[in-house]
Amino acid sequence: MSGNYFLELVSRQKLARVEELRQCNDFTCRFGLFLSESQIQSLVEQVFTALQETGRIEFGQGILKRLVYEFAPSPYIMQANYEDTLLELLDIFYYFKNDSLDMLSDDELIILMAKYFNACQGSLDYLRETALSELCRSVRFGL
Amino acid sequence: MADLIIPGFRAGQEFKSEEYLQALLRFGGLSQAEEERVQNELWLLMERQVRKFTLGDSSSVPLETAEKLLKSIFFTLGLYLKNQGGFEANAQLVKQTSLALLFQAGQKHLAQIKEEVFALNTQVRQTAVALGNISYEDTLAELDQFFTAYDIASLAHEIPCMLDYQLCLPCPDGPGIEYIRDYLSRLLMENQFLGHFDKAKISALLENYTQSYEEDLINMCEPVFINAVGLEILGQDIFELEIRGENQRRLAAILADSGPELKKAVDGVCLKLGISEAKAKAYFRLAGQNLQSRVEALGDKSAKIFISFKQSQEDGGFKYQSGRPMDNEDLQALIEELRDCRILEQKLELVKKRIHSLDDLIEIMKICFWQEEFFSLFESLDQVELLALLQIAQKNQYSPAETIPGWEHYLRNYLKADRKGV
Repeated sequence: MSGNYFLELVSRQKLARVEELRQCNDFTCRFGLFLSESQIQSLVEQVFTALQETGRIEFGQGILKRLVYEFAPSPYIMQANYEDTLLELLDIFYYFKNDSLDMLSDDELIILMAKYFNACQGSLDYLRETALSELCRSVRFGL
Repeated sequence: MADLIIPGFRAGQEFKSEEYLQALLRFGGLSQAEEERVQNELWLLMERQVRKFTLGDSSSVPLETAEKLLKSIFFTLGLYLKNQGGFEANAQLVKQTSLALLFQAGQKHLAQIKEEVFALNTQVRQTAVALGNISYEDTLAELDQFFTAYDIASLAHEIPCMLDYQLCLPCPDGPGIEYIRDYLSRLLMENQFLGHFDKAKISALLENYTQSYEEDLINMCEPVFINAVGLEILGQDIFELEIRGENQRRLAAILADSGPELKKAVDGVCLKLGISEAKAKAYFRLAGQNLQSRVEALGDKSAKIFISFKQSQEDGGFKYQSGRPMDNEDLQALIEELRDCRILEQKLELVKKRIHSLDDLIEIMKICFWQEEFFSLFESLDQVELLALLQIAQKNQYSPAETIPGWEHYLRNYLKADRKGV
């Protein structure tokens, strides 16, 4: 496939993600959460950066919308930390997809991330360094 | 995703199946819009394949997985399109048909090929030559496994089996079932070739071809083919398989002078074995060309290409089966009888009736026969027995202080007198 086609494809995917996130605002506003246009653009760019950094490629509908829907109701996410939390969660998601050797489905991983995030009172460090690391180790060893 | 590299296009060039679609996009005269449509459809096809591969569980996959899935798509489409028509006709087909439909047709085509290859594998199994070569037998087992492990849907380009057995002419590297089909075709031709020859003779040949032919990674057909061709050149029975001594040297001399002899001999062997299929004849002609190259490369030493049987090398050209030796008491009684004999003919009669093993004969000769009596005794033995005795005499070694037994001395004299043509 030519490089030009690929760039065009990526830009089309970005547009689709941007539109999805705009629509998410309708759902998240009931939790007092709202993403501005620049925040949406930044999040969408981060998706592709995270994919590149973790050596993955995404097809169809991405996970951004699912992350928003799963984490928006959390009491530990506020407007002040909404964008930053989502950015971190994106990184964490793709990292642990690799770490689990793709043995966890997208839904399973997102649900578990939300569960541990709420259990440890919104600590992303605990989520990344302890809970998910142990989970993925168990998955890899078939436990 | 990295581009797959396509060689520069030449009219009529053969593209590999996994590169064919890209060649069509690049050289098929598609317009910008047509190319974009195809690439768009390719992306959607990838999306579908990823969903299938992950069972809908993941929207993203590692790059390596995506590359494998893409290679499988290219291979499936390429193999199907190559089977449809010429390059230009296929370019038209791609312009007019959606990629999803072509891919669906491609998968059906692969399934058909898989059935044909399965039938080919059955024929290979039926013609398999049981000579105890481990790599051959392991490869047959792996080929059986291939049909359950082969993933047409997602990884059609892969070969999920290990093929250790070396063919006479190796298959060029290729993907998926295309490679297996080629491998099995060649293996079948080799099995059918070997099936014309006596198994015991093939074993004897292979035993001298390599120290442990059961364990080594060798091709069993090649040495048989080489010897069959050599015997054809010599005008001898190709089914005998063995070529030794002077014949090896004669062959080397003939082939050094005349290349066409070998080509004629390959055709002669094919005729004698009833190999009439064009593909099989071409295969063995190519093997013949390889043989010619080896003969030319080896020059003076090319006689070594043609092999004798291992047994005939050790025995100096013949086999002697000794009978059962006598019990010590019986042997002692016979010795006493022979000592009491005054007439030579009676002694010879006793030896003929009662001695059945070389060891007993040698014992008797040491004790009961003298000088000129040996010549009469040797006259009563046949050629094989004389040669067997000579072999034993040649193997025996004596220090300068020791005396060579009389029978050995007389045997050599007897044979020098050129009796019985030994």
